[in-house]
Amino acid sequence: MFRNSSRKALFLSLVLLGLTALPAAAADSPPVYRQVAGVAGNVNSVGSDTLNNLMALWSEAFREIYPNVAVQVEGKGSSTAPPALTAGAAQIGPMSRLMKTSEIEGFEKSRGFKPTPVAVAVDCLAIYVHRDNPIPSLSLPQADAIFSSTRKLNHAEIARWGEAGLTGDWANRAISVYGRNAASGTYAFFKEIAMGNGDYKNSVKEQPGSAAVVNGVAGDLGGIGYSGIGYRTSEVRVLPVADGKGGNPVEPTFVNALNGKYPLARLLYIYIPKDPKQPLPAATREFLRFALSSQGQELVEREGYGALPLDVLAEQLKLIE
Amino acid sequence: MKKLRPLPNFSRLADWAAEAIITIAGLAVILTLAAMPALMLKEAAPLFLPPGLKPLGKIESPEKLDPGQVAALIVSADLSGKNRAAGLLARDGRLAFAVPGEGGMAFLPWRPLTGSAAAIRQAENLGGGKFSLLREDGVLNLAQIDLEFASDGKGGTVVEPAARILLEVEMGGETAPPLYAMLRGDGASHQALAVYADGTVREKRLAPPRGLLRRGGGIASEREARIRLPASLSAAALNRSGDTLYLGTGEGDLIKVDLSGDSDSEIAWEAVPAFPDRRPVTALAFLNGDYALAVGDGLGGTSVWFPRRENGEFRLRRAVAWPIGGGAVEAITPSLRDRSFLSLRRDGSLSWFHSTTARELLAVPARNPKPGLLAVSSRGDNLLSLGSDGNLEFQAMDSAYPEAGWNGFFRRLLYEGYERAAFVWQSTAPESGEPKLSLVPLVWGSVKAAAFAMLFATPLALAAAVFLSQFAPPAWRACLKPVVEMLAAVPSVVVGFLAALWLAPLLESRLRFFLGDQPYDQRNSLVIAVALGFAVIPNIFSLAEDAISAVPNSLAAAALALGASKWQAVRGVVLPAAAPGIFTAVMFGLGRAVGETMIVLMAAGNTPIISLSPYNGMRTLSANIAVEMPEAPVGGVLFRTLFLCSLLLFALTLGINLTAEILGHRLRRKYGSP
Repeated sequence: MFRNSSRKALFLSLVLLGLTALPAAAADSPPVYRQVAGVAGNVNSVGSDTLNNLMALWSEAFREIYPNVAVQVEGKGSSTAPPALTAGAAQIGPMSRLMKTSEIEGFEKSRGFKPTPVAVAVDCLAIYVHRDNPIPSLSLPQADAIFSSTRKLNHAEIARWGEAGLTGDWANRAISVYGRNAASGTYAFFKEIAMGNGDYKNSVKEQPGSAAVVNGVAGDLGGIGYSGIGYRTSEVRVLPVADGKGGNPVEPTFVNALNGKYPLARLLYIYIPKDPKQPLPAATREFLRFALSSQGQELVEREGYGALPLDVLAEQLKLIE
Repeated sequence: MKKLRPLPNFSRLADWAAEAIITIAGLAVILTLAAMPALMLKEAAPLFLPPGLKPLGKIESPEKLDPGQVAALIVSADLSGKNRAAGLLARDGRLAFAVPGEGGMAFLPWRPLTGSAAAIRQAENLGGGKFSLLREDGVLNLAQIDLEFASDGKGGTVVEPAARILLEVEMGGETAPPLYAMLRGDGASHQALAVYADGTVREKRLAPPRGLLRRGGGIASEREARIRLPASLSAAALNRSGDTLYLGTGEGDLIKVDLSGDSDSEIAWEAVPAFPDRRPVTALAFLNGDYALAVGDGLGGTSVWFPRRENGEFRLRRAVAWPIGGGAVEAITPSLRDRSFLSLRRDGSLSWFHSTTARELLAVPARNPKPGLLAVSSRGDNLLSLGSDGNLEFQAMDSAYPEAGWNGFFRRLLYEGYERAAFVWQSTAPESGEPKLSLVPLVWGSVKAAAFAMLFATPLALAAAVFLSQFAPPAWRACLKPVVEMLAAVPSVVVGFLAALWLAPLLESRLRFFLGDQPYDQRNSLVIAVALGFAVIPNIFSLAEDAISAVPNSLAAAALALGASKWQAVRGVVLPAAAPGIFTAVMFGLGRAVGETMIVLMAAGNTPIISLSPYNGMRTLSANIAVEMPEAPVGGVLFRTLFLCSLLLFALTLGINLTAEILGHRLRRKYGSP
């Protein structure tokens, strides 16, 4: 009897502990950013278009804290970040992919050390179709067959919506394909994951920005395109994506991104030229600290991207010190 | 006679100064004009330079090990290319490093590589300092051998060799160790694969943890399959992602083993009789990019194979073959940088091939002592070879731009995975991708855009010119001509903007009804015809109108007096007399259309397609330069190719303008004035 009740008590206390521990863990948010003294100077950012809106939000909020710091953001594509960092034209280079070996080498050759990637947000690369398009989902091999001329994932060519499973009016409607230009990290990421490093069809209409892809699809009934989830609008529909290896179609949510179920998930980075022998310039360091703080990560979520888990944030903060 | 007064000193000085300034300015303009193509040529010329191997010196290997006693060579160089280091892994598991020191290169003392004590049977360089080692007792080791240079903080570089065993996996068979085995991976995941003499393929895998952040533990699994080996196994290669294994046999077969899918899925395999004459396959290696397979055979021939779609199925097919000779191919060493590789034959001759452009970049004749083992540095710029005399030799590999050259730019090429050879422009490839640099689609785009624009603009501009000079009341002419010429002042970015955002959607909505289901791109040649045509109409009109107006009125008057109608007089007398001028006008319009950038950049869709259809777009040489400029690393192949594009564009417009001048001149002589 006693044993039993003690067991019950133990169980109860464990449950209670769990209940109290859970909200505590949830409330355990990233460090709140606090102003530090003596921060001035410039922060020039050149790079990813996917991160462009987020960079703008961050810099706006950052300028409120440090009116003396001038932040300039230019976002034409991830490939523009390495040359700008190498030449010293930018202090930070947002990128939606990791640098290629050749880019790292180019940087190392002129600066004498390697650039440091700091993860700042989680992104789901989403496949968009027109709002009125009834297609329920796509698999990666189907996407490959729509976007790629080489079709390395081995699906029969898809040029009309009927070949992707639609019927009626839609069956004979041609698919109009929108994509990013080659400077984009999104272009490279999609090419790698969805196309097995195959080639884009040369009928893909290359757009200079993420928003342009979404706008193109919004105004084109037969349109399809890909962009970061942060660029979702009410005029387009986001498709669940199946991995094509027997898995069910998965919605692009950040839970699915972090547990690896959504196949087109990725991290977004800010590259910094951090000389191992010298501390970062104060303005650059504080900007990154801000981006990784609870205020910064709140803006990440407001912009439609996923905030980083706490342990990852802590790791990234260590990179800046 | 009145005597001229001498000029005052001041006037003379002004005279002299003016002459000097005008001369300098004139010369500067001419010099600049000459310097521009020279600069473009200078930047583009290296694309056509032949590659080279330059000897950098020899070092004696410690103990004079011959190539048979050495399992692997390692070579690295710093970014400046001045400092090099070498490593030598003996079959007995000892390592020797040669690093730059005070008095040149010196060998450090031998050091042991821990792990199994058995001798090393096979060593394979996996890149990134990782080596897969198969021991005689069937144990597989994954070794990390670091020999890369790092900054020493004082502007120089330093190398600190280090070696350790990362992983050990037991792969011994029931009866005998495997014929071929390979281990790859890192701390979190790995894959071990072994092929045994009875045709068994066994795979042990630790799958990486799921999730974007790769946290948590991996999942271990094991599977095996039995493959009917048609003959003795003579060569094998596993790709970096570990999903495709190729086996070569002594009877000319290639076997593709599909290891993709998870541990539950079966291992599929397929044998392809590669050589009808049953010559043995002696060397196999995956080229950079993990897709194409370089095959060396017993007759000294080298070929490249990759899966291509045939009737909807991917089949392993030969893409390129180079001639035989020189004895069996003993080793194929791929570059970790591009699609080039070295093929070493039994007689010691060496060939440097590039698969995409199907070129033999360099042939090195057989020599003594013959090289027995090769290693290429991670940047593909240094070659280390171990000769039969036991000496190590460094060579600088200057591959220049292997993907460029005449073949790369202007020939139909069979790219990896393509069903047939094609002209393709897709410059930016992901890491280890295959850049596709055919300029043919771009030249086609320029020509097509200009042709469509001229088809639209020429009749309109000429009709307007004839009307205004011959039929309209003179008062109209005084007013209308400047108005049309003012159109030339509309900035082309405005025209492009209107064409892309207003004209293109309008045209689509109007044409949709007639076209039905025909493929139709919103930004297409029709839009370009109108927009670009609109931009060149003022040029053609203005010059043509001048030429027609310059025909003496007396000629037309004479025709009219002889009873010709107005149109007959224009057609029979005025137009032939003005033909040289009209021709020049059209040609200058064409030159403008070919060189125009902003309109095509904004309204042509920039799709590098070769097609005659008016319903799809194009990418012109000029727009291509504008599109790709921000992503071209200085000095890289794309950077230089863009200079080549500008050179081509320059040649094209220069050619058109020269033709205009020369033919115009001839016509002028033929028809007299004007």
